Amino acid sequence: MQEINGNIQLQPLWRKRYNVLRILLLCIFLFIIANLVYVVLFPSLTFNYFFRLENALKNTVSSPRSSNQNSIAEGKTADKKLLFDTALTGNFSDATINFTLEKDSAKPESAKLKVRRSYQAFFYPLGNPIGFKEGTLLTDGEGYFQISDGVRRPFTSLQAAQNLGFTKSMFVSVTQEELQLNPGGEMITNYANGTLFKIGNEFYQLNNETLYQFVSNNAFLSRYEDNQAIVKDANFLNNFNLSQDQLGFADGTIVSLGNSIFILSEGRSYPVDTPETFQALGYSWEDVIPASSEEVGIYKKQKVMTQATPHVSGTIFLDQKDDKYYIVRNNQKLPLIGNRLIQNYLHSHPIIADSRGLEKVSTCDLKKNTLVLRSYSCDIALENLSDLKGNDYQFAADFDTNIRIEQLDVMFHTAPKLENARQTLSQIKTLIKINYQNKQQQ
Amino acid sequence: MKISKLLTNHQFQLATYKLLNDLLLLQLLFFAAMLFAEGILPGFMSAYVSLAKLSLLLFANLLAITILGKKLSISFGRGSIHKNKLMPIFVVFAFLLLGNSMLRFELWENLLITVSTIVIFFLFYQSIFFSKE
Repeated sequence: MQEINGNIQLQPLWRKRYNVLRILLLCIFLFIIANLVYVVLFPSLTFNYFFRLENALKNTVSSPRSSNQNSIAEGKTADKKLLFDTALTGNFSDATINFTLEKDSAKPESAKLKVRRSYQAFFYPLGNPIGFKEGTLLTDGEGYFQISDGVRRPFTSLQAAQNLGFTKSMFVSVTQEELQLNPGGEMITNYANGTLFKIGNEFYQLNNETLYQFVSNNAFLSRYEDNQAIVKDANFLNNFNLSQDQLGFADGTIVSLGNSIFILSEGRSYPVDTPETFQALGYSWEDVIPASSEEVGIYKKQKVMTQATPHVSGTIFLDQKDDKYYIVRNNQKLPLIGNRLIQNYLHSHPIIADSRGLEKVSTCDLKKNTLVLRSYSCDIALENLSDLKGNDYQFAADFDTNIRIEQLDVMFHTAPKLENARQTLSQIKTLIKINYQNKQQQ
Repeated sequence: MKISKLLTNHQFQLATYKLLNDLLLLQLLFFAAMLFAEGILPGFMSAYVSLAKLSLLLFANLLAITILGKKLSISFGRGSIHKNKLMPIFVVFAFLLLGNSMLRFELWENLLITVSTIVIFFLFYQSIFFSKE
């Protein structure tokens, strides 16, 4: 370090002392820098939950709950079990979980903790297979059908369908098995709910004798193919009521408006807080559709989507273990069976998940801390979960008695290994790339 | 040596003054590095180090240098901006930081705004510190 203020002269003794102190100052500075580099290269993350302050913003552990998904009131476990989630990116080597109990809590003799890794929504329970979407036209080669109000309604004949304006090419060929995914319904004699029309350059869908206009052609194309709509002239609008409400994009569609990215679902728009969240949730930049304020304006804006927010209804997962597709609906994971059905719903890249993450667990036994009162903790290894997809670590604690928890802390650690340092540097490189790509796109 | 006696020792005060200046240089280098890192990846480094606290420490050090300098009757000379050898480095650094923060603009807009900003700041500096000359 070059000496500044060189014109200020010190006596030899003080000059010697000054030089020693200067070297000490430099050493302290280098130590701080080294420590900072270490913290950046081998990050550790802490999540907390304060059960006395259930709505506090500083609660970063997601939804502590009992095994039947009920919330834990005042930190009291009801069935000796506690489930909770933490959402984060990166591969961590291990995590330390610490429970601090209330003074009046029972003292557990033994407790086991398990952790799984996937996406929060991929942990949802499996529901019944979903059928084809509203308005879809199907044929098994013999009969011709339209999906209306969720059921498969047959046309009396192809000619009857053609008389209404449908063409043979509009009907998607499916197997008998695929046809059975929607329950059978009454014969179609006139335009049924779900029928799609193209009038001028605008798309409409019929529902209860009312025509609902799609907010844009992009919105229509996010749900259906261009040739699915019957072409009509403007006079056709006189036959039905025209709704003021407009139809938007397919649930789960990603759109951009200015600098913001929104996930659209069930009439609501979820602004994504950062590019890291977007990536952590497994979304693809290629699927972002530039939208206008009119298109996004028909949606009710929600709180920002963070890494702790589960995927919205309409999101499609691809399980890379066995190549199966699932769609998220009403906090359930519904299987998409058959290629035709997958094509019917899939209009962008699916979120790649891994069902091995639902079965593969890491465990540890909670032990009482000798130095801290009413505190129980354990270290859980996470390296065996590192090859799994997903940003959510779901913990399940199993106590031998019901307890009352005051505070829950989860600390994720990264082992100081060359491989981890390389991985962090690679993540930083990716983040820089995303940052500059976004700047240039704006 | 008693602490009170040490604190009033002129040599100790001079050594402290020099050390505070050394610390200021390190703080400024660290602050510049942080600004650079934040420019490239906003929010990444500030998740680890608070820029506000860093600025407060910097100002606290400057205050300590000023108070001690007055006590030691050390005058602060006004170095000419033209003769400062570090000035080209500062200008390039400012140019990069400003240009980087405006990447969303077209290149010609970015260059125009960056150069104008640097020229305006230079003129401000001249008029504030050298108005009597």
